[in-house]
Amino acid sequence: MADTTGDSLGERGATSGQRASSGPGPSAIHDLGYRGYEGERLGPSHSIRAVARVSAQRALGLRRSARWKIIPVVVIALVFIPSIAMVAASVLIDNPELVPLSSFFSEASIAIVIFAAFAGSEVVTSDLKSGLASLYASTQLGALGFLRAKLIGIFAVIFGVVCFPLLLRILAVLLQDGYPSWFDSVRDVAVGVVVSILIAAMFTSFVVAVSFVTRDFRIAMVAVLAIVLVTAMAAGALVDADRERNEPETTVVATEVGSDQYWFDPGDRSARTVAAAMFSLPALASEIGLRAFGAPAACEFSFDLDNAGCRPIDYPGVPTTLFVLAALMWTLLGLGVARWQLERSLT
Amino acid sequence: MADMIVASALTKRFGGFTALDRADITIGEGITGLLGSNGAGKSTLIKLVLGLLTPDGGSVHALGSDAQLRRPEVVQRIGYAPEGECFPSDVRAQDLVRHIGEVQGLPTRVAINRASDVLQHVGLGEERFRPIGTMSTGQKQRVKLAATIVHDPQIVLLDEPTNGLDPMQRDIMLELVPTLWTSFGMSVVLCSHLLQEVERVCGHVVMLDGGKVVAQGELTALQRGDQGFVFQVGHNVGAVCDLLVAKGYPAAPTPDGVIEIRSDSPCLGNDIRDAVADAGASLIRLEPIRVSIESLFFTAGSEAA
Repeated sequence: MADTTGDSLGERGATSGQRASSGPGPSAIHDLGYRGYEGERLGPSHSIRAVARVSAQRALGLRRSARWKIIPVVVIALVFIPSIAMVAASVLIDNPELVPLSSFFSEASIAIVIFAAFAGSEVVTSDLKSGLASLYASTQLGALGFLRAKLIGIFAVIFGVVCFPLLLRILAVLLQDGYPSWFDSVRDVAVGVVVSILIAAMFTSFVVAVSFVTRDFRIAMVAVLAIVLVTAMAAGALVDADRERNEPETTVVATEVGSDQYWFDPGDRSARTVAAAMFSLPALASEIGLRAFGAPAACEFSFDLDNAGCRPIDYPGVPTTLFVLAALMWTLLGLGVARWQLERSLT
Repeated sequence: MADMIVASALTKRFGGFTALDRADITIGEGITGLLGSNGAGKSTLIKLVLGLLTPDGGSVHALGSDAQLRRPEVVQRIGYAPEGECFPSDVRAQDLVRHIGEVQGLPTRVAINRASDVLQHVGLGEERFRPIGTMSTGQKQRVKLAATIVHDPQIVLLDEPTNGLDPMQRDIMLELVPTLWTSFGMSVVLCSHLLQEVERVCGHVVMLDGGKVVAQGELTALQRGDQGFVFQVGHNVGAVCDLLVAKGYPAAPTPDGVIEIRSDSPCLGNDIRDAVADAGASLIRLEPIRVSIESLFFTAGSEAA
């Protein structure tokens, strides 16, 4: 196994039993039955897997008391139940009105934010607070390995919460024969996975960074939610200002047709409005979702997949690449802050 | 005796502060006390051995390998117990120790078996399935010890293992530490600022003060030095003293008949024996002058300064 570091330090050339017998009380070995270990020792990637697995379990509240299961269970219910209902509807009802894929992220973003805030804060700060982090750092994991393991563990659970409900919705469309060709369904699956990776990575690095800075579960959770709220409000204020200046009438129409399911009205998408989304994590997630599954973005009255009543969405000014870059920038910023705070946290 | 940890001209600075100053340290098998006040450089040395810090000068080897260059392999053979409590309270002891075993490189199945074994060895049988938060401080210390040794390390680094313990728990801990060497054959480095603690369990000692090594070696040798003898005779004290003064020793009795002679003469023991016999005095006790670890530490510290 490439992972194995072998026994290159085994110069002691003795079994633990022999080693022990050089101690002053060899008879005690037999009394206690202590056995040394001279077998295989696995390398740092094994350690990272172990810590990532335990971190993911803790985030999901597995093997923990009931109060740690509340948020994961509620969030999982919030994101999965609508998707499962849609799969069920596709099977049971002819031609049901499915919510378009593009709106999944705007619907789920609040649940995802809460879950990310909870999972990230708990998984990182509990180890920093208990001192387990220092112990991890002293092993072959090292400080960087500890950070990597935490990122992987938290990313895995957030990705699961984002991606699987989305895939269920794609399945619902598929069951309803909603795809003109198999290629379209494969495209949606691929796009769904990529977008989920992007969004999960963005939320993961953000909450991990905040957790490393605050080092306290409650403060970290409040800080994550506060930052999300404040940036969303700031972005919202920009949008409102933009609306009033440009097309006040469109806003009214857009609101009437129920497009408030979006963070930003698709009917009112000037370049400034759309660009404002970059400064708010959930808005950015919604915007990327909207663009990834584009088509029925601005439907009026009907969510029918034949696009009846929908008008093609206009992406004014701001190219999609810029939103992907914004998500990557958030991710890198979070990673940078976490890396910067790592040493301080472990001393 | 194999060298476990060897530091050569090891230097570490934090900004303008020199935490370790060209320290040459050799730690062999057995139980070694790493003694020094806060800021003396103990924790810095431990972190350098664990490869958590990079030295600014010199090198540190553990188990014959460079602690920096071959860090993953070196730390697999080291067990480190940080100061204070360090485990989440809602995890069962068995799960935690198994997990640490895996992190230390044990395959999962081996980690499960060894976790049960070492928890038994440290005296936690059925309690090992309890969450750590429900355990007493002493039991938590045992869990920490089990987690430290689950991967069968050759060196165990204990950072202030008795901090925060009440006297009884401290006693239990200090009884457990020697068994790591006597029963499990693991060399122990006990990092402490408590002199009595080190004196009680350690065979060797490394004393640090202000980043410098002020003394190191076998504790009994350091305490004995070549400084002389203290003895007590039943009567004829004056005659014994006269005979010794005649031989050039500065002998003067205390009121209760105890004579302390500080001299590095190799014949001192024989000369005392002869003087007592010649004076016809009865010898009550005779022993080398033992330096208390406190005075050793303070003398060494002031000499270094």
